[in-house]
Amino acid sequence: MLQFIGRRLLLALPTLLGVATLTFFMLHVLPGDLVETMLRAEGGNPSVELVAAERARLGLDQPLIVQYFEFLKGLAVLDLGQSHWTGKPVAEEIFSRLPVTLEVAALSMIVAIALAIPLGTIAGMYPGSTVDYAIRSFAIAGIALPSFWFGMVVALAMLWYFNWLPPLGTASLFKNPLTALQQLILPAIAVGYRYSAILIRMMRSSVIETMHEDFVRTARAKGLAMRTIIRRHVIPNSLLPTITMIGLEFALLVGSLVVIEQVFSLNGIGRLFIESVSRSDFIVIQGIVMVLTLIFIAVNFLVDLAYAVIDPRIQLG
Amino acid sequence: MRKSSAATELWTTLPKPRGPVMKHILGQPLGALGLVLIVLGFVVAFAAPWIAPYDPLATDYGNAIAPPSFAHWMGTDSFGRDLLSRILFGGRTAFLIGVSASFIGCTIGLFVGITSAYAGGWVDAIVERFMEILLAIPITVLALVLVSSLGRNMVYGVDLNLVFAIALPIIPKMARVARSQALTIRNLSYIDAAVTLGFSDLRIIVRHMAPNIFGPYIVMLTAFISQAILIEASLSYLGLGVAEPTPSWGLMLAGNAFNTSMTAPWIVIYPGLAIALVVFAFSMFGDALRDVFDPKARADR
Amino acid sequence: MTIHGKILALAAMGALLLNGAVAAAQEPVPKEGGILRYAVSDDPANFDCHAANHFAALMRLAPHYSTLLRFKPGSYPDIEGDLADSWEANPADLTYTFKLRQGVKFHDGSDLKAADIAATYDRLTWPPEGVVSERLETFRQIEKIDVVDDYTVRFKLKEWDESVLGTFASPYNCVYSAALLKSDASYPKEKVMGSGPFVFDEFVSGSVWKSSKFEDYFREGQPYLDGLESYTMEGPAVVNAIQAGQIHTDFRGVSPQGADRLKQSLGDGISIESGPALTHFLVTFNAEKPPFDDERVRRALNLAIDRWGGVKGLGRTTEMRYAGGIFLPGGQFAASDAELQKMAGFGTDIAAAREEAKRLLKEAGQENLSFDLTVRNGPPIVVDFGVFLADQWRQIGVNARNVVVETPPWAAALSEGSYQVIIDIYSALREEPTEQMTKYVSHDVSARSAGRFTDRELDDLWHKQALEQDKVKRMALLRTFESRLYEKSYSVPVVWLERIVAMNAALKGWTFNPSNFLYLDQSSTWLDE
Repeated sequence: MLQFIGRRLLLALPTLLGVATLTFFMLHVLPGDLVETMLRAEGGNPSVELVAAERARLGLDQPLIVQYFEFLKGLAVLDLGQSHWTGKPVAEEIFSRLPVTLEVAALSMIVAIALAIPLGTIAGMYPGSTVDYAIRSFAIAGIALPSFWFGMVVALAMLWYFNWLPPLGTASLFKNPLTALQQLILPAIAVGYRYSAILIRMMRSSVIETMHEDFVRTARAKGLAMRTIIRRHVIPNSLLPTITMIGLEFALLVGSLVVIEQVFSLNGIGRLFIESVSRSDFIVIQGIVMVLTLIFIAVNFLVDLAYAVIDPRIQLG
Repeated sequence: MRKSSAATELWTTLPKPRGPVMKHILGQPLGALGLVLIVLGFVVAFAAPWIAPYDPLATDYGNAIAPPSFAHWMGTDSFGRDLLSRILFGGRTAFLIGVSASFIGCTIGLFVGITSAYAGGWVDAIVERFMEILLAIPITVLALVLVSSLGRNMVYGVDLNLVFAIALPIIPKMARVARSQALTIRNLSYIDAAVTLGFSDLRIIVRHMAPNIFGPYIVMLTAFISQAILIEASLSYLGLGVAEPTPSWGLMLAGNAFNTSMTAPWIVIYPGLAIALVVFAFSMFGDALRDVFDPKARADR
Repeated sequence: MTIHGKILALAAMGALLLNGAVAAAQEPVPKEGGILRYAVSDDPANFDCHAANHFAALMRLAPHYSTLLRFKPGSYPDIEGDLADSWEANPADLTYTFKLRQGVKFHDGSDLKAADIAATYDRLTWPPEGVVSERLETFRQIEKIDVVDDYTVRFKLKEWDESVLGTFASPYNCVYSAALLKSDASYPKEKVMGSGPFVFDEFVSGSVWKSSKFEDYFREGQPYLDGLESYTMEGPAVVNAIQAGQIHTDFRGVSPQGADRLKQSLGDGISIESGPALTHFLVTFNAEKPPFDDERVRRALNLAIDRWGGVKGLGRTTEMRYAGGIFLPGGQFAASDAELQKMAGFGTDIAAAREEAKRLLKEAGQENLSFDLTVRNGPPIVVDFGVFLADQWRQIGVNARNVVVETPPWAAALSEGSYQVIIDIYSALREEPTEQMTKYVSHDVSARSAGRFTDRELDDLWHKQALEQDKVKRMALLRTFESRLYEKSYSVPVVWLERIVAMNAALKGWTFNPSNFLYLDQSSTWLDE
């Protein structure tokens, strides 16, 4: 077990280094940097000296390769540097916004799983039936509807019919659960529905598969009630591939979150990302990509662990 | 590193399509519906210049935000441009970008996967690492970074950089599948025979290995078209994808569209439905294709 | 001349008293209490007013600071003393002398004196190492700043300039504490400490900025509000939040569609004020690059833009509502419509203008002209403007490709001159020709200049009008400048925006004006709740 963990960690290092390198050089292709944007964008009239001085202060006048090694040097000691825009540490910028994103992610996951397990199971039990088609269409609609569109339409409908909007500001799920839930529920539904669509399909096909397994046949032959068979045998066994899917489609979840935070003005990491893109605050963008990559690796690692815990037949290695 | 991709899971056995593919697909109502919608979509998008009632770029400020009528079946937008014509031309954009991004991504992925499997050793190890890196960055984030850093590069009205940005994240996924398929085939006797006969590597890859991975390739191609169309819409919505005035469904929802939608719902309803319909069609068709090519899944039906 | 200056000062003070009396008689008695909640489109990069150049930053910072002079609430564009009790302009000596109010306190309890003013303006005019001053160009005329006594400060200019007085009223020129500046010249970047009506409480980046009433504010009885909360939000969310009653307003304004929607759903619950904004969109042809180095090509493209017809349509759905030159339409310095219509690109016969445009292009050998129009991916309306321009040029057979780019590459293109044709926005703080014309003079003269051209004749006119003290003669100089600029078409104004501020009907005492930058300290704003 320890060996497995150690090996995974070791494997993660080159991936992280690669991601860092790739993002760094991709970001520096286009002309224009943050200094110009900061000093000029809104009609300011900076002198050439001022622009040069600010560049020097931020270290943007250094050759690219020097900046790259500075960045790596920081990473090695877990220092993501300072935002060029606000001057605050990148880590602080990111971690002050991460909770919101993680909360929406967790809630979306709950919504998705709550939809996927019952619907996927029912569809899998009666493949080819009308119920099956209805559920599959529901699932596919979830994939097909752009989450930003769906989210916006739901939000406008709530405003139109109930004059209700999520409360302003950013409430913490732990300190102020009721307000936070009101803020997070619509985005969670918009993202969760889309996410559930993938899980429903996975759940369905694994249920179909499990239903044909010998132990289910045996259980039926023994005269166990169908409901018991489903609950005790079919669902637990079908959960495995579905859980794997959660980890694998994590990237998709993050992508949806970036857009949905924009739609609902949520102060999460996705909005920070978009803002940083429009300001060319490269150092923050790099930080966000690194953190997301780390989370991605961690989630997949946890999924593998969970896999092993649920199914002792699987050996780690 | 036992199971690194969902796709690998889906393709544990060799594809053995039995009987005519089309017959199987048409045997499934949802798949057939998907196919019909796709064909319809292609025809309509291709014929847009001939069937669109108006020039999609022609503004008529005096007639802005007009509700649907006989003159404008879907109403007009805030520039007074005909919505139906923009939806039709937007279909061209969606198909063009969706299909080309998916095709480029899957094809590069296919050859990367096969080559890496065929070469093995350190080539395989390095390629694998590199694919892992690409997989680790979330798709939308990767595309956003690419689009914002590369800027735009318009060729015949298509932003090549946008296509590339959407295609890049597809490569590692396809490569994974292709590699595992190729590894299975690699160990089959007829490839050994080909090697013994002294065929060149290129010939073996192109003539013998690639065709055998055609099944998963075509399935993934279809699946990724829908994903690419959605990503294009999301990027355009965020203002990083297709640029005005090119008609694009995502772009039609951007900016002030949702502000206007309370009084002029048609402005957001039609583009949203168009995206949903096309993605729906490709997803359904893709599912049906997978059932045909993946005997394991089909046996259960 | 000295007498003239004194009379000016006296007149200003008299007007001040008179206006105050009139305003007091008309206005209902303000209620005290309540929290004003409003939307702000962006976070400030840091808290230093002197380095800021965005109204979003002012919306957060202005309530915490006082300035030497200010725009008088309720009677834009009058200027009154803020920290200054009275002032004296002396063109002969080239000096401005300010007498300060006594008993003004900073939020930390210390007294505000002449030394604080001097330290503040030193910092603005001669920023020390590590300090960014966005106001350098504005204060280029200041030679030295003297503290005469604790409550008197004197500015000596290098050359007399009528426009300087107004800059003392700029809300950007927040007065900082000399004592704090002495220990750390860049403290305002991280710490908000001024003498304004509200005390800073907290800021959650990307979310909310909170402040509460300053009990020792020097204006008796003000501020009326208990506190302010401004939320970082943009796009459709703003109108939604106003509709749901979550925020009172967005002082920047909303789109016409947003305003319509609010009117429909809230009726009397919403009050809407609108008028021309001090913001206009312009387009610049790169005069250094062929074919735009050919005057005929530039003029042809200028002529092809149907400004009057365009705003009629655009104005129905967007804020692009007014056709105008380089000065605020209908404002104190603008050309009349009749004058404007004689200038290139502003004629009323668009068909004839387009014929002329085609002829010019033909003459220049550019009948199949095709180029990239660089558009900044800023607010959606900027992209809409790009669509409008491309469509105008399409009608004379010119193919303009909209190249929409993010702000950084756009700013880079502008400063490096690596564009063919580019769209620019100019948002001015106040109506002041000398300042506004910096956008349209040679690029070696002003860092703000939009164009890539050198035209000494324009520079000369700009310089002359700044020194001209006769109003009629100055107006004539402005007209000559405008007509040469449009004739040469280096960089031409196209549309002026409308500012539509939709406020919850309870919000009172705020002064609507064309500038996005003024009256943001909320000292006289109150809630009738």
